[in-house]
Amino acid sequence: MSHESATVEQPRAPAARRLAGRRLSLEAALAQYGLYLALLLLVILFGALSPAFLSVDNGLSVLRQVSTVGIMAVGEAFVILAGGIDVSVGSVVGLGGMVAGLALRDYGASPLVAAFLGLLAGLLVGLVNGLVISWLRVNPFITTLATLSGVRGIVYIISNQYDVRFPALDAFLYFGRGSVGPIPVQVVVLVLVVAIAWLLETRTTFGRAIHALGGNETAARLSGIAVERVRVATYAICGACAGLAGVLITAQIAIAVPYQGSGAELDVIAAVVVGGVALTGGVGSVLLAALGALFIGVLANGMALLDIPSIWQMVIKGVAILVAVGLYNIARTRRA
Amino acid sequence: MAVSASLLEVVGLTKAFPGVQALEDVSFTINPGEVHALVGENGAGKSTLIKILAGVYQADAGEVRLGGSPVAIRSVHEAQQLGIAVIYQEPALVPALTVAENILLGREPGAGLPGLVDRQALLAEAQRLLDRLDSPLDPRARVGELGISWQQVVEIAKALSLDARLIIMDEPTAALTLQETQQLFQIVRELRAQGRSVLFISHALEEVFEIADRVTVLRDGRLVTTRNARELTRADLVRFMIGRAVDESASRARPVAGREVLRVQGLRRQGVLDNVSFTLHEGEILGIAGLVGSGRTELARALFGADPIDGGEIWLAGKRFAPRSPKDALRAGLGLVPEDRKREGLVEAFSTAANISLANFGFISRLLGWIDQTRERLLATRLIDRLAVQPSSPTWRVRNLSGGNQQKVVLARWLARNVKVLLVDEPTRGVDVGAKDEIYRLMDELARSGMAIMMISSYLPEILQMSDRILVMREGRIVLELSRQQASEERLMEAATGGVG
Repeated sequence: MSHESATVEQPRAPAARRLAGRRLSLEAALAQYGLYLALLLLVILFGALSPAFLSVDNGLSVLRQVSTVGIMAVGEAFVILAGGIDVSVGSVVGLGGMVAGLALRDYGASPLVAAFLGLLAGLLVGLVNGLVISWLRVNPFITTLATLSGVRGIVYIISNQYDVRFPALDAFLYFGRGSVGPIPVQVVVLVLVVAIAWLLETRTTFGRAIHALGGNETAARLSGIAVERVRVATYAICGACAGLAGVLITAQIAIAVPYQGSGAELDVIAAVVVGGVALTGGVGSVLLAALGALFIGVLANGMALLDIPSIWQMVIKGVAILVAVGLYNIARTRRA
Repeated sequence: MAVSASLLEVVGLTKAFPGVQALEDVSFTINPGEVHALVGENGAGKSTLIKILAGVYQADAGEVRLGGSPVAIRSVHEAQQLGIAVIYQEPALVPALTVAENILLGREPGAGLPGLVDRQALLAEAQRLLDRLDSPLDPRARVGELGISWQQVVEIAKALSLDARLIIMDEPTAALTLQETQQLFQIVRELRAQGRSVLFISHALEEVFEIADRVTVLRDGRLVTTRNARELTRADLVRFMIGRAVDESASRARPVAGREVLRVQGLRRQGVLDNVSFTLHEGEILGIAGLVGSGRTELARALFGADPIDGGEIWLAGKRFAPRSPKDALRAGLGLVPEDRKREGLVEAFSTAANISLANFGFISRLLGWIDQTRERLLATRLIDRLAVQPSSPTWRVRNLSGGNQQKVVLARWLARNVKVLLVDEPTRGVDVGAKDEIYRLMDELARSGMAIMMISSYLPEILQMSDRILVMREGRIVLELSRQQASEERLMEAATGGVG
């Protein structure tokens, strides 16, 4: 359930129907739950076409594959909901993984500390993004485009441009490869991140302030909300999520690679947008952003199982993104 | 054009939207060369009617006759070809182009080769149209640099270039100053003198009486009456609009104001505020009159910490007060109802309850900002009841509320707090007559309970009716202070304009 459905009454019979009409409330419902429906249809379609698709193993594997993008999408969703954008996440993923790897190799850090440092590095980049945007009033796209480049450079510098092989401590690799019962640890982390983010978004004044900021910044400021603080916090969260994702990937492949995460920002923003979070801010929810990541993951997995050539997979994915965004726009315009 | 026959006839016009009857069997006529006012509360059907005439909506039943014969207006383009032009409140022009280019957009005089424009002919034609409006506007000026009132002139000139016989103006004066309104009226009279008709929509009844020859009143989608303006009194018109009589003198004889709450000394902001000093007392409504741009809104924003100041002191309840942000002001006990509620007041995607909560996070949340949903609902329902917000559901989306109810929601936000000083900027702009009355009563009630209210308004009857004391601002300075007894529209106007106009 998104933030909006928690606090805003969808037109309901009879009084609401009188004003909004039945046809419109159907569209409102589609805007709200359309992604669930589309995901269900996709699962049914692939299930019918490929017997391997519906197996439990495949399901868990899809979830594990989308977990890092899902975590980043949650962070990105906070930023976009508040009316911003962060395109630096791809480099922050690389930084998070590299910091963890170096901490293990050169400083003998314990696995937990290394993981925490990776997350912290991401958070710091997020803070810098937020502060520059808030204080210097630099456009968020430009700011994070600059950190996308700058942070990637830093990753190459601190790694001497080489892959970093660190002692393969089981306790660290557990973050990337382990499982709790049948469920991969990465998936557990994703679920935890989504749950915490969802509570933060829908149940706290911070989440309310984020939506207010994205919906109408002036009104939020004139209502006494410390908008700059909220804005900086969203970038910090986004950075932390990307740093965490970097740690998970590094733990999975047991090596810290300097170019890790290159181009990830595009996948992340695509997931958020497919989740129905409007780039104009204020519309959508973190839960749906994570679901958007899942949708793209399921699509990719199903197409791979069907042996669709990868170049065509790219085309289909692009079309799917456009269709999703187009449908959201239609539903919202009709509703307004 | 025969003078006896009507220009436009609307016969039995009916339009329903899913579940709501927007117009029902509405008939009236517009004569050539008349200014015809269309009035009614928000939701009375004025907008629907205009949009049918403009070709935006299609009527379910009934017809529109032009010069006696029925016409079908299936699109905006067809409306234009029939000689119907609509001037909206917010002009829809291309800011980067010049006045002349906007007036003749898409119909520029060619210069031989396709795609080339004869600039001289373009300027000359635009100038000719502006001259017909007796307007000093420079056709070479860039539209983006013009104020809304000048942009409206451009729209009107554009209508003339299309040879519009009926010009519909949808609340054209809502964003204008008094002076600009007078300029617009001059143009309207000019249009009338040329035999064109104007259908004029306004919430300000004074304007209706000033400019209109005839008045048509709508209520709940039905025609109430069409009358000659001269035969109507203001009270009649209000009664027709809301279907009951309104006591417009709601706020007489408040007790004498109490202790001083706010003292402002020598407040300065470069180019905006110039040495502003005044005091505000408990239980007092201080009216701030002046033209738009005289520094009224900027004064409120400075007091609320929304804009920085260059100098001067503010004392709140005897203590120095230097707000650096609205948050500081809020904590100190100030509240602001901003000028433009859609742009500055409301998060339109939010529910009524969430909009009220926005300034009350302390009340609705517990540890770590966790929202107590019961308290939030309680707060909202209490205030919705108190202000009679309609519909009364706290989960209703604010976007779907009428202007008056939206304004009540913005006000409600501050009632939950122990606000000592309430700054209200244009409290009843775009608010229908019934809700206006309720907002006046509420402000009166708040003042009686000891709140200090600073009320900015461009609407002089409102200033005169509500204020205990009145300040007039001009060019960033306070130029006149009057008690309610001393004040009159003439004196205020004179001070606001510096004696000219």
